[in-house]
Amino acid sequence: MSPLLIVEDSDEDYEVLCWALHKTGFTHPIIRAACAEEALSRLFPGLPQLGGIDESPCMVLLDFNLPGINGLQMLKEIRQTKPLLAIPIVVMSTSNNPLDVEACYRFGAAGYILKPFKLEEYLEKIRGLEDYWFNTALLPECAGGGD
Amino acid sequence: MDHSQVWASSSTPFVNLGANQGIYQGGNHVSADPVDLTHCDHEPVQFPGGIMPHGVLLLLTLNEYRIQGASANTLPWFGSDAAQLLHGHLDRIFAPDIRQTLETSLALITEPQLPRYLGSFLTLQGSHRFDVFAHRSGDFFIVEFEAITAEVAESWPTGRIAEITDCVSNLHSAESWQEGMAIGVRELKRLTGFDSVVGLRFLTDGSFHAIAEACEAHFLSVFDKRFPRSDIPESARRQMLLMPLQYALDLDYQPVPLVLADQTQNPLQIDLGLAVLRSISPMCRRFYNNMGVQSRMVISLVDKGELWGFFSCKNTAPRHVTYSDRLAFKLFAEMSALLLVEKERGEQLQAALRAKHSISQITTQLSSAEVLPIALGQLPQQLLDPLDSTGASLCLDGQILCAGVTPEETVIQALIAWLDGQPSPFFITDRLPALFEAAAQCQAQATGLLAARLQEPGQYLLAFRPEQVYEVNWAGDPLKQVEVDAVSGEERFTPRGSFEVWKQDMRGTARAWQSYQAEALIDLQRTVIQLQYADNQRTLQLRLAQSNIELEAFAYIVSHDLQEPLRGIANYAQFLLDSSSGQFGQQEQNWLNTIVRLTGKMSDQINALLQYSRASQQQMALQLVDINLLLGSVLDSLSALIKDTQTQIDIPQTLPTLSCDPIRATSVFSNLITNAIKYNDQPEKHIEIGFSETPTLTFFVRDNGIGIPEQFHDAIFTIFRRLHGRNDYHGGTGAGLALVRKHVERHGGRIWLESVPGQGSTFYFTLASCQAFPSASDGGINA
Repeated sequence: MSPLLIVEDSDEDYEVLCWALHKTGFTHPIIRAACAEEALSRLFPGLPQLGGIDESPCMVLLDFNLPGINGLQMLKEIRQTKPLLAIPIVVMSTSNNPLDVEACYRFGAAGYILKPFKLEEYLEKIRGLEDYWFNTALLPECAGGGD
Repeated sequence: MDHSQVWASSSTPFVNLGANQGIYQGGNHVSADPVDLTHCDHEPVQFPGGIMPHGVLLLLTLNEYRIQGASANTLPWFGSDAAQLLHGHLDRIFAPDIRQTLETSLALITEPQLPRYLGSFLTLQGSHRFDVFAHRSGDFFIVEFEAITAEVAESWPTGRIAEITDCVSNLHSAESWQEGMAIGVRELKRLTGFDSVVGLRFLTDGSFHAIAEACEAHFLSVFDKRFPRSDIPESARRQMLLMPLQYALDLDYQPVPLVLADQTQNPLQIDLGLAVLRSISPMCRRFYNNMGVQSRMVISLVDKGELWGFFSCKNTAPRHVTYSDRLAFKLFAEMSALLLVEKERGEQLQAALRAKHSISQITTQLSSAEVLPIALGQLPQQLLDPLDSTGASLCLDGQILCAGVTPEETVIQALIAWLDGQPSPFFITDRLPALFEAAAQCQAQATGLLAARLQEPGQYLLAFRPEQVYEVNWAGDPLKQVEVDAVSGEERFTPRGSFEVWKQDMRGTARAWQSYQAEALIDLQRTVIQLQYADNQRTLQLRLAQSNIELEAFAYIVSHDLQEPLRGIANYAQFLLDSSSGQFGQQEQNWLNTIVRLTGKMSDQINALLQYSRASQQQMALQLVDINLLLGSVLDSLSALIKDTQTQIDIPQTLPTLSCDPIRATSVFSNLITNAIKYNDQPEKHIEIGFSETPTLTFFVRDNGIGIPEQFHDAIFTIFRRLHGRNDYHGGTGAGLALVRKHVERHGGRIWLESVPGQGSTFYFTLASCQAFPSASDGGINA
């Protein structure tokens, strides 16, 4: 199974996300990049694969607020790299600023989720995310793998 | 004489600056002549007691025309001596019909005025023909008889008038008033035939300057020489105004005394001020004698009742000038005065206008400059021309920018410090070294100074002129006019014996500044100060705006970053609650729940803060909006709240369509309506929404709620400021009205309220940048 790439700098947020994925019975392997630079190095073909996973992710959960290259800039980078355009990227953010939301979609985000404050809501949103992307929609088999 | 006295350039009379401008005029004043000339000033030139010998004078009574006095020279002219004529009538001299004519003319002379020409008449003996003039003096008619000799009898008035007309035309063609004067003396010399005709201009200190001269080679030239004030005493000046043309046929004469019928009367009491034949003062005759002049004619050039200058005609031999010729010359002089004065004024005005124009151009440039200090930096160069200065400096915030020839920077710095100590922000002098010691070392750069202080001390516009080492060519030593009387020991003025050039060095002085130049700099000073003030204001506003932007960006970033740990705290508290059921007691579980609740609250507040800072940061998106539709959607989104609280909402008017940011306008209405519902404890809640168009388009939201005491009318617009407990009136973050005000202000509008506690509040707001259009319902544009 293709892995899910989580780009998240906050350990706590990563832990809550993993907790929610685990709680909802998510079975895909999960790889984490703590910053956009690390994520990009994983996604770009030809670069040395890190973390022992040589398979391209089938999906990316991208934190909006990242140190260094932020989420929006990373979206722009990916947009300029044709093979990566196939990977759906869902942005997770604390910002409900309409401008941020609009900018993410404009640069190719497949979805935008506001990070919930209550655990129940968190579970609900992750469940919804899985239901759609992993049970309803078809994901690319090996995006970014080939040419 | 005060040697430091300032002279104008040789061609331009000194222009005194208006003392009412509060300008300190360092040394630019005309000082009074210290030599006591009162003897001369009081010389009784009007009462000489005698006349010149080339004519005859009679005194007649006012009512009977009886001869009460006569000059002692009647015998050769009239055939009878004075004593024989006394008490008689004019028929002793003229035929009865001429007597009749003369007396009829005299009857018309009722006031003292310039002698009236009565005509030319033959005496009874038929031997002499006379030009006859008469005027009133005290209790007499003074009748004067000037013999017309065969030689001059041929003068032809029409020819003269034609010549005068040509002369005046020539004057018109002059480029400058000086050239005009040169043409004047040339023409006058040709017309009068005098050896020398000089055109002189009075300067403000009373001295006078020979501007133009037409003279025979053998005659002593006085061209470009200066004559001190004392050369024409005050009494003589008065006489020059009284009698614009004074003529003496031959200065080498013995005055003819007056013989009076009334033995008790003194001839010296008869006022001969207006008499054509009045004997000239002995002092004056000596003065001319010393110059080798025998015949002279002085024609005054008068401007608005003041002596402007005069033509001085001199001849080494006696020279006849008939009355009709004198009349023609007087006319010419009067025309000349008009033209010369007008030309001089025109030239000054032109120069002043040019300076003013240059300054106004500079002002325009400065006003439209984007960066004021850079534009100001060009001022020194720009000032040189309009101020006619050789150097100029701008001193601004410790920096000194110079153009042209200026003193060294250290001297300028010292000068600035010195100027800061002067009482007036404007300073003008043409002899700086006499006032400011350090200037002695830079006389070649800065002897003349115009200084204008700008907004702050130490900021100056300076214009410099170099020392003008020039000489005044006096006609004789102006100081050697006072002699000590050998007998009395008194100082007394005497006419000079020598008119050779006496040079006076005028060191330590610069060419005098003209009043329009000072005024031009004052204008510029005013403008620069205003611009500096505006520039400061703009800089402050920019800084304020910048700091506001930074503050809002700070609020945005901080609140964004605060959300993350806060959510972490909430999450872990929930983890604890979930994973520890049974391990914690009820108390501990309550505490954990409180943590979760409080973090939620804080998150709401951070969100409100984010929203508030976004309200400032985000661009306005103006578009035409139909407020009816906008309000409709606001009420839709609040429908649950409205329904739950059973609030009645009235919108009696059709609202306008206008240009605004719809998202912000939605927030404004939504928050105001929500507040109107929340802060209301009436059983029947009622809200009215409307607008008025005068004086500006103003919306209002009126409720019958709890009202707000007046002392809180400002405070309620402050973020997180609450008037009630957190959980009263359905809580809320306390950012709503702050957000509303921010939105309104971003539109350039303002918000205020009227309220009576217990009865309700009305919030008013304008959206100033908005322009109202006919409402959609009136067929206007739909948003």
